[in-house]
Amino acid sequence: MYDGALIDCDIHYLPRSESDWLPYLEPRWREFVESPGDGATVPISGQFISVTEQQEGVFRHDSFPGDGSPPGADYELMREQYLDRFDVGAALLTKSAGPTSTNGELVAAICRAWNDWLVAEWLDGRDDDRLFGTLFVPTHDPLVGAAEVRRAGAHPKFAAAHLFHAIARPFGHSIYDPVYAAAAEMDLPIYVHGATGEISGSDAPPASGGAVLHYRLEMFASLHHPMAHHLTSMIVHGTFEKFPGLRLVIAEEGIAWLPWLMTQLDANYELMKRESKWVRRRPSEYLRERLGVSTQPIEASIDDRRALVDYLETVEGIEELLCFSSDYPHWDADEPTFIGTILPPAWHDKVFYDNARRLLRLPDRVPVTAPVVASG
Amino acid sequence: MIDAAVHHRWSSEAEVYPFLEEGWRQYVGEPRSIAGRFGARRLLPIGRYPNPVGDDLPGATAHGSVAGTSVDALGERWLDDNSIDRALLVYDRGTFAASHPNPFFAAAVVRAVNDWNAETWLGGDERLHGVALVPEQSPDEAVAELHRVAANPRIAAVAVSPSIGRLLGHPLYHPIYEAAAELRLPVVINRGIDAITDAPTGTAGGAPYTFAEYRTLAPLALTTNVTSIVVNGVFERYPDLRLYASGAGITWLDAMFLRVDTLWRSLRSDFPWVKEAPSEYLRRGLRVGTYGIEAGTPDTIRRLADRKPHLREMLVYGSGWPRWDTTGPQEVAELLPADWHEDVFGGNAADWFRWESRVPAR
Repeated sequence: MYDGALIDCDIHYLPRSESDWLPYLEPRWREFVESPGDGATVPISGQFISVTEQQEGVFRHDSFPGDGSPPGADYELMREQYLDRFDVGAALLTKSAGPTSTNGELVAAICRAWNDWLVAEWLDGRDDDRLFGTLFVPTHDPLVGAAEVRRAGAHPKFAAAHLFHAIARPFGHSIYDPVYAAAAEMDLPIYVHGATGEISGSDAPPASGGAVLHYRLEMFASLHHPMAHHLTSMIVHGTFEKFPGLRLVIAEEGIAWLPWLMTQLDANYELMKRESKWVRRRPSEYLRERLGVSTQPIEASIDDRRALVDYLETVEGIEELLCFSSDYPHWDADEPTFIGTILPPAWHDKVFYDNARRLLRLPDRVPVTAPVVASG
Repeated sequence: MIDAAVHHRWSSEAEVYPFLEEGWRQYVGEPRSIAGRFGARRLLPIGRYPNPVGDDLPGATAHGSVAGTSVDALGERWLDDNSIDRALLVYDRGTFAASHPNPFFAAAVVRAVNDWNAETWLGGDERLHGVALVPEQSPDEAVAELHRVAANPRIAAVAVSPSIGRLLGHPLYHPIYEAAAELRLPVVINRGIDAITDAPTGTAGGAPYTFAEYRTLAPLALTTNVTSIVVNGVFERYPDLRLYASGAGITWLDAMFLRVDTLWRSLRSDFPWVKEAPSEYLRRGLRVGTYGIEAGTPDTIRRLADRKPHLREMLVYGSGWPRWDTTGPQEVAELLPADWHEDVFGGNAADWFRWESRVPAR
């Protein structure tokens, strides 16, 4: 079993309550949120599509701190249940989605406040070198987003810039270029988690072929649909060519969709070259070089370890893309020991460490000092 | 040798006009009767993407006609040369006749197209077999139309185009499945559901900007609809129902099996009527056409065949002729193991569709 250094690309933190980060909100927007006139507060989140509703929320039952705060809010419990228990070397603190308000100005203000709170409370506030952050990028106005990447991204403990909202335009559209330019300049990979807002307030369909989903299985089964489109779009419309330093890490969308997508992309290479001046290499090469995909929720069970790997291996070099993530404390979290039993030992160094190390903006002093031991 | 994806179409929509009922015929109008240009409505919803390499194979035309519009050309240019004994005519954009936003017009066009098909194509070459179209926006009418059209023993399947934004598992479609199962007609789902303009069935994340992106992402819409059929319990209600998905290659199937089976283990309490792993139903109830096979990545296809032996029973040869991305039997044969050929090129399709010998006695 793998016992080398471990980088986890998706651990969920939360504030204890909204009042934790509200003091960081600009006064104009704090007044807007707290004082609409009827004594209530303005909801800062829009509505997710109906089938995302779960009786138990999205959390492991044992991850509730017990003091009324939500899972992911209690650092000590996070250490005990996850960081220390699995000797995590570097943990990327993430949140499933940014503010989902439809008001882009409000979203941008919340992103700034939230990023500042995350620095104060978690990245600087805890004496723990393992913790790294993802900064929220507001995209309603990509120029505002680019400014935030440069502002918040100046803090060295942000390891990625989280795009959580596609404005009904696939990510290859040049409207996002200012954000990519800023991310490349700051050496921050773009981070995308779950669907990119398509299940939480985007105008775009969350799944292909019929956007109205009936069951949460269908929602979880299609979480990668928008991302498959965004990746295709970025290849065809030249994002990777325009920004040679740009990297991308995507989380919580599973991995079994990669073989068919990479195959289809390459199978359509000639068509792409005809329709776009930007496609200059076989499409899968861009992905092998620039993309990391978190392993969770892995499409395998303990009863059938080979079915997934047999399929993954139909595409050569797919292990170059895989980055371990736990998704602690969500209901479908994968522990590293479980992933280690599913994926071939020959892939472990890449999956648990090398790929994330190459893609994330981690400092040279990244505290993954444990020797990388050959796995077996 | 059976080819389960031959595209056929009319040379102009005027070919279908005589089959329209009189009122609808007037509604459509007369082509070029106004200013030499205007004067008629289109019968089909408009497709979103022009193909940058042309729609058809060079050389697929014969006698100066549009490719895919002539029984004789199909025989001479395709069936004879490839020793094809039976061909399933699956239309081209005609498969989306039922998807016109006006459900009443859609139903009228479907009836006309079914009659055009029977008279123009199925009455000719005895190798040719057809699919029934049904106006699925109006389920009662769809069932009636299916029974009417299926009386023709040359009808071997029924095609659906779920364009109204409700996925194929929705109860709306169940009466069609009941009739299809009773009539022993497999239900055909073609790629392209996500490329119809003014249908709420588009691509996740918004409409792609190029044909290449649309084609790359085509497996998603098939996956969503097939998954929907399983989780809504359609196979439990209609255990004899058969599906045939075609046009998006063959590599997407196992991704769907892995994802949906894994989720089913944890979420099956949401739909207790689904008693087996989704892949179990689908191995029995789904066949996948080779049309659109990822021929540009032969190594992947060979590794897939090596590692996923269940595909041997699930794949059905379909050429796509005369479309630009037609894959001939020889090309597909080189991609797949030699000991699969008998099943993929004949046996699987022979067992699946309602050929004349399988038409239930009346």
